[in-house]
Amino acid sequence: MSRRIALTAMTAAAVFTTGCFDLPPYNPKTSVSYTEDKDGSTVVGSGFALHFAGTGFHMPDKLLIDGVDVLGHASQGCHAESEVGIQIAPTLRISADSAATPATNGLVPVLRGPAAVQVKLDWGSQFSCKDTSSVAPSGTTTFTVFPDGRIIRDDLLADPNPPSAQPPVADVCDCDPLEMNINGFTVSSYWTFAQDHFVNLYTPDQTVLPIKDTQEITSPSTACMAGASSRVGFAWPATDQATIHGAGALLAFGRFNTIDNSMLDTFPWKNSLAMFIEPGGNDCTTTLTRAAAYNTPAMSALSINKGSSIFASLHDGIYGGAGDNSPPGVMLMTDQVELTGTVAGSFAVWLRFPHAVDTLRATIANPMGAWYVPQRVADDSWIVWFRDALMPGQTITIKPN
Amino acid sequence: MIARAVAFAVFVTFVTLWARPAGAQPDPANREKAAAHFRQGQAFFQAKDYDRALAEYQAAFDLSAEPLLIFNIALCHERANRPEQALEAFRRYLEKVSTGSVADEAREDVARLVPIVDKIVADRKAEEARRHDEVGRRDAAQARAVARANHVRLYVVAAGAVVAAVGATSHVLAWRTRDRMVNAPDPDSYFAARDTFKLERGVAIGAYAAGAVTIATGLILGRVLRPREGVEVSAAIMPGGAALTLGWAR
Repeated sequence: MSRRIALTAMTAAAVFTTGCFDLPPYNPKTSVSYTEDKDGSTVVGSGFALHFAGTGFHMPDKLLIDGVDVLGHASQGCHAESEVGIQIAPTLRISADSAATPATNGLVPVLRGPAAVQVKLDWGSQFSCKDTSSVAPSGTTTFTVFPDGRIIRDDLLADPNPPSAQPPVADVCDCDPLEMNINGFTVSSYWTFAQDHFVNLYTPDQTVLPIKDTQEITSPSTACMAGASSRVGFAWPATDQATIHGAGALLAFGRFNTIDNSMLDTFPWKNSLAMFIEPGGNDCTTTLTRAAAYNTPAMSALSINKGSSIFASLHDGIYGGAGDNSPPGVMLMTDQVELTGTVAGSFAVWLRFPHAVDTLRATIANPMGAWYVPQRVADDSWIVWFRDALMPGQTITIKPN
Repeated sequence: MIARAVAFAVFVTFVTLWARPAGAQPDPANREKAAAHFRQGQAFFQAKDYDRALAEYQAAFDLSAEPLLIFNIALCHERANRPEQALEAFRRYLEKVSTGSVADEAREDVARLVPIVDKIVADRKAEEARRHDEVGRRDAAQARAVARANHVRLYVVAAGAVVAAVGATSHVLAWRTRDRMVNAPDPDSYFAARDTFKLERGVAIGAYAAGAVTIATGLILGRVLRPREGVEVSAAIMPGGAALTLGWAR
């Protein structure tokens, strides 16, 4: 009996000792996280939460800033813009509150934080127009979210239909019984917000909200909405057909593509849009600066190990992020990484080391607080998010610890 | 003189046995047997096989109770270099026969053997005393060795316990540092705490290991240094583990 007690005590002591001696990972206080629940999934960052719907299309159905949902929710169905989604007027929109029946509906959390969360949505539906029984709209929308509220949205509308299929025709769609759009389709990637949560809209021409249905700001490169204590900014890397317009009680931000032809045959169509959420305060100055910097190559050029300048990926907003043909991550030849250049705001870099790395450590002259967040993607693949801008002359050194 | 004494004894014996009155004579069969044993004893005596001669004389005495046979037995002991038994036999003879030439010779033998036996007894006592002293010294040395082994064990085990206590202290410090790591407000604080934690963890593990080895060494030394105790230590390292066995036998 005593021997058994002694063995039990030794085992317990060994377990206790082992448990106390493991190295806990860094648990950043400023971070972004991804969680799933019965109603969908939620990405939570500093002062905001973006919720993805669990039913219908998995597009975002809530954007909480300091606990208040600021997204626009239209009562009208069909192709009118509502919440966040893809408009393919005059057929049914693709959004969480759409009446369209999903044919393809996938949500994949590619990255789960703490430096970046990336949610990839694969969607597909059936046209509700004349002679569209054999074709269907489909695409992929990717949201990449960073701890400080920067959200990069990337849309790719593909045409998976066989080449021989007859493109859909805009006349006599279910959403347009009066055949008002008989001469073409309007494809749009959009966000909508409830206007009553905001006061001012800052573009090159400041506008006091609300703005009416008929009002539209065309081809903006940056914009910022200011509420009582929150700001939301936008940056369009491509300004052609960028739009801000009233939609009833809502305000839509997006980029559209009008096909002046009753035949929808211009797929694939690609779009990228950056959004900046800043809880607290109502001054859009810093928000617009971030948005402008995102669009300005001279203000967002990064050099890795004194190499040529690289720019953030339009797909995910990450330096070394996913490109069109290459896997994400800057391939490194050595363990040590030196970042130089000029980046006007927070940024993230995706690195691929020549071998597995357990822990990553960054150093800079005069660091202040939680100035970076490392994220392990794979054994040799890491994303590091930096809270502050990188000034000329500054060097950030990253290496395995 | 001894030879004469034996011859005389033989002569006297036969005369005596033959000359006794009929009522006092032993059984004729026993007498014959005693005579045979006597003759056999004589033969052995002549052949200098004194032990067998003594056995034959003793057998003859048991059958005849003739005191002169005791004298012969004493002679056998003397020839076999057993002066104490010879002296005792001569004295036993004299208790039975106090007169006569054999008795005189027995007295001379007693007088001659007494100092020899006294010396033997004295030597024996001296030897016993020496052995007793030696045992005492050995016991004292063993007691000192046991005490030394106990001291060594105590000191080494205590040293191991102190080292293990250092490990426990470092363990507690590492535990607290680990909390700082978990709650680090920024990565630089985290890595500073992590470096400290790794150091404290290394010290704790090293001290635990050193303490355990020291304590085990103390226990082994405590056994090894004890006199007349066998200690068996074996160690085996194999894929997946190691084993250390310690055994001892009193």
